[in-house]
Amino acid sequence: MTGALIGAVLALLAQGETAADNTQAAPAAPASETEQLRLRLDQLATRVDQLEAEKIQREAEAQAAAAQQAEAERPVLRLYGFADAGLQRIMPKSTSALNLTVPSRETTFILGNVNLYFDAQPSESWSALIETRFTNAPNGLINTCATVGPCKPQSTFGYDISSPVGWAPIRWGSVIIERAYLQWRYADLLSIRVGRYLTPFGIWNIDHGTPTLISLMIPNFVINELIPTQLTGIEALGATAFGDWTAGYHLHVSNGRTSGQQDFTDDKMIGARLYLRRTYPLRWALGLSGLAGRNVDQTRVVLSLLPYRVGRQTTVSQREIIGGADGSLDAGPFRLRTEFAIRRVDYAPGQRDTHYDVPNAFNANRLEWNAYVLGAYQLPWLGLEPFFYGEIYRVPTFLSEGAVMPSLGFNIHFTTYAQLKTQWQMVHFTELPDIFSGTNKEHDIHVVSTRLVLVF
Amino acid sequence: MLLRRQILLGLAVLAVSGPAPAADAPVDLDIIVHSSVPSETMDRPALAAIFSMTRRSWSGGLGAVPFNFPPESPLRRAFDQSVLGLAPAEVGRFWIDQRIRGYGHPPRQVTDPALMLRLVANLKGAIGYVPAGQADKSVRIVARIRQGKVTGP
Repeated sequence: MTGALIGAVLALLAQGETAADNTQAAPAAPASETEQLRLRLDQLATRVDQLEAEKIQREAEAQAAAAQQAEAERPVLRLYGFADAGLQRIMPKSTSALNLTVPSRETTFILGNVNLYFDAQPSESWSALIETRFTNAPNGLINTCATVGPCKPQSTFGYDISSPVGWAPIRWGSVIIERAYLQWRYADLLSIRVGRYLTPFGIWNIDHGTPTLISLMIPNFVINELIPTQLTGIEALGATAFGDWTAGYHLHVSNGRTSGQQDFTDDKMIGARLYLRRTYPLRWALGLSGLAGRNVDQTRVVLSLLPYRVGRQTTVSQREIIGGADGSLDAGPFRLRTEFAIRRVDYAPGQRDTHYDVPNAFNANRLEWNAYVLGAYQLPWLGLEPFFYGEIYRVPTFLSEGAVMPSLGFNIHFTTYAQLKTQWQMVHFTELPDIFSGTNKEHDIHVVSTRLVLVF
Repeated sequence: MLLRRQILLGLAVLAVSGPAPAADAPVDLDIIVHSSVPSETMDRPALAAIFSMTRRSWSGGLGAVPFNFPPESPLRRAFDQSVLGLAPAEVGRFWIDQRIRGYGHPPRQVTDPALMLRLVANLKGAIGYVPAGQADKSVRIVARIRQGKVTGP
């Protein structure tokens, strides 16, 4: 359209020029005709400008309409995740009884996490988040083998009868539901979650994924389950910002620890987390977390056949109270994380659970605690981020009363989405039981792990 | 003693030689909102709360709909540095961490200031930013960024 108009203007100009040339040979045209042509030219030029402006505006409006439509039709389901794989070597001395806890003492390739998130938000107020982990487990898993005799890993080997030849070997794996909850958001200060959620406790349990965690090593309060890492129940959460500060809370009621998926008491686990965060100029946060509950396990027994009667027998009954404090600091290239967790467990008389499946060994009433501190500094070269990690715990088991664990590592951030994490850790046990020969140092375990991590 | 001095010297060098600051020249921006947004002015913390998705609604309950430019845009880098105090790599890491934790997603992105202007003008609860002087009467300016500092409208 614009091109045609410009063409018309040029044609008119050419006519004007021709007319001007003709004036030399022919009698002079009336001055008013030239003025009319110039007027016409001005009008056309103005019209061209108007059409250009209208065209730009129409294009912008079309883009805005498309963007508005895209906003209105924002994706109901987002799919994303992360994966990591690498190498590791765990090195207890061959004479140490702690070989019990280590499946392999050689260097081995590892497929770590393959986590996939299904993040749905069908409306402004309603959403759901499902995080799954695909794993080869239970193939190769070992249970604690505390008795004399072979300690063999599980095998899921079988023959795939659905294969074209009807006889192809397979080793089946599984899918772990890390969390799956439905959420309704009323306001910034109140959202309600129902389902299975990560226990809102400290830093590690929420960060939980290799791309977000700085260290590869897992704190003992997670390994030895001082806290239940996931809970099935209902959670209220919210936060409010004032200036550069944010204060937030989590309150939850859940089944707590259950041997299966259902709770055997109406005495639910309750928990809370409070945090205070500052976001500028430095980003730091402090948090307090707590949980309290009763864990019960039952068996059902047929008491009589005529009349048919079934009774329930409580085999385990424990009360626990758990507390935690955490702090984090992000100051440019420097990152600091620290957590402390403490747990008191008391059993009802005669209703204790077995200790790591050791026959006739039962857990005692106990106080357990764990603390770690982690500092990382990103250097200006090659995305290199060295870090130190120090951990100490007291969790009485048949292996030891506790341990001190110094660790060093470095991450290489290739891009925002890809990094290589490498870490060495030494585990030095304290107060080993008498059945262990030699000094404590002879039972030290060294671990070296590396993982390539990708977010997608 | 010598070792201690060497360690201290090394730490001092590290402290001084952190990741290089963004080399972008300051870009002046105007923060614009839809006419439905109740706020007349916004300071830096209020903008940070909206653009980090810590705050997801305006006073009165209207949902906040922030729009950003893509991370590689000089406008976006200037905005993130002035409002959030974060370099591009830190912003990228921040949003990955938020996703892994299950805390949500970053604001939606638009590629062009003209489109940003039209979107904010037409979408209830919307907030965005454009280069200084490009805002028109279809939107309301609630803050300005001048020489890297957030000021009043």
